[in-house]
Amino acid sequence: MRINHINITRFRNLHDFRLELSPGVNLFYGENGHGKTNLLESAALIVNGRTPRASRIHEVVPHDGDFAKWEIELNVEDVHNRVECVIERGNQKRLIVDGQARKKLPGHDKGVWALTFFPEDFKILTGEPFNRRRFLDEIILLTEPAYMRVLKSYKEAYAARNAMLKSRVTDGMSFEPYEEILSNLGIEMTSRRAKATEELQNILERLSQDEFGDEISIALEYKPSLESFVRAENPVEQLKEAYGKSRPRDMAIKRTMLGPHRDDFTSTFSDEDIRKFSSRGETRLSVVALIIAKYHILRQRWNLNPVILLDDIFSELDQTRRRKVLKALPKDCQLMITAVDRDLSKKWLEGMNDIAMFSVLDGKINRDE
Amino acid sequence: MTFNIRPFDRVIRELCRLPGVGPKTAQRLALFLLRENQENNERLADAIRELKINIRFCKRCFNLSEDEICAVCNNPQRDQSMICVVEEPVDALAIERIGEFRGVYHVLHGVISPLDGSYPENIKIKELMERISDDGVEEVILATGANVDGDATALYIANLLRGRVKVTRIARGLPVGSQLDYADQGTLLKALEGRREF
Ligand SMILES: [Zn+2]
Repeated sequence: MRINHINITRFRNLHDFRLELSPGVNLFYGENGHGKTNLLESAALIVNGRTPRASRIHEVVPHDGDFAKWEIELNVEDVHNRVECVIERGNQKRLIVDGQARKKLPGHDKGVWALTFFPEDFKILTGEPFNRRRFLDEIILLTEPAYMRVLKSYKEAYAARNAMLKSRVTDGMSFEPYEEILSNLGIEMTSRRAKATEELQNILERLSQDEFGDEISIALEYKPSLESFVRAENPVEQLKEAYGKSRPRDMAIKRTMLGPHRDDFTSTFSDEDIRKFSSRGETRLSVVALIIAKYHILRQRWNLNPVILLDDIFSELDQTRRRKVLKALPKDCQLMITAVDRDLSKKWLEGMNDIAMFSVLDGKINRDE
Repeated sequence: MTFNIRPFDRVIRELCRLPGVGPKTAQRLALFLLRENQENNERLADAIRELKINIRFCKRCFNLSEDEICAVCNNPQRDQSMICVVEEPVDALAIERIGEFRGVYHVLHGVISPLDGSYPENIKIKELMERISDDGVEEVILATGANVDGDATALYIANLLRGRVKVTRIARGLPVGSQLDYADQGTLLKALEGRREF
């Protein structure tokens, strides 16, 4: 899949321009604060349905206006769709596909999707554990959309048991149904996340062998909260029993302690814990590697080339590592990359095909001649 | 928001108590009623007034009924040994519409839902247990919704009945998180026919 055109009426500080994109590499250069990241965000918001930045969706409405409005032409296996998005202050986001209001992008549950790297993604490796759980769950969801039901049900059953822990109810009969549901879903989530981590790990190893070279080795290890149960003979039964036994403690703290809502994974760069020992550059490289690994998993599942949006991917990397990252990027995907310096970036991209350069200045973007 | 016109505000206040009706909708409905002719409004008022007088809950199954015992429970052709447990009267209606189910119902009037403060004693579970000890019931079909609360309620009842009667759960063919009354008849029939023993 790729994006043929982007047509911005208003989006954050961007306004009134139309871009024709290259099917290959699209590089957006300019000083920070002029709108490079905003452009990538506008594409991600349509293709993925949400903003990859930490901000809330209404912040894309310009300060001096009442609405944001932009459009992309999407090309999925030679089917073209004009997708318009409008966000009015105080209203829901509206998606208009070829003139028809839609809830979701066509093909959204079949791998139509943009692979993104934004500086916020550092949190996957350096932030709180929920960032890592979300990363794993997103991979599972993208390959198996029905997993949403597992996540949602787990969350509901977890909230229900917590509500019960805070209530006057103390009899086991009332707790048992929710504990049985939590046990079933908890074991399922754990085994799915274990499988996703394993797949990521395999790809990371292959990347080290083929693209990065030995000096860059990134490893993940899943740390499931239910580790002792998944190895048991009858995990669901054992877990159910454990929930029963943990009731007095959980009642005291009024919260369910056991379960995949406390999962995490650890990551190492050349055998050193990334959170504790790695430099910014090493961490950046590791996050990018994770994102490339995510691409390979999706590629395997859907055989579709996502659009790849990389915000400020090259900074903090030395020349060798920059080259390695470029080499590891998927070759048959449309890329949108941001960088500060035009000439430097042009040099970095040497040898890549179909390169289009765009200058970003004060909310306006122009394709170089 | 009040208009300080007492009869108008009173209608808005009363409408606001209805499920799914917020202040804005209530205001719109009240304005509609104000413009409506008096005869139609009286008919609506009468219908509401008579609702509780002429309709009650069946003493046995707690479905809507005009008499003490409802038409289904009273029908000698219906199989009293097979009870289908549903959340609300609309769910019983949905199953009744298929026209294939020959047993009787038990309406719980809700579902166990700790987040909404609803526990087993708040719904008609005790009454179901009493029916099972008297009636010579052979199978209880649990047809609560295919969502977490519906599943938890079914599990709770199944645990109570374990070893006493055959307990089955309708199959999972229903749309995600669905309530029975939203499912189409074919899907519902398949769910009922594909029921499995707990
Ligand atoms: Zn009845």
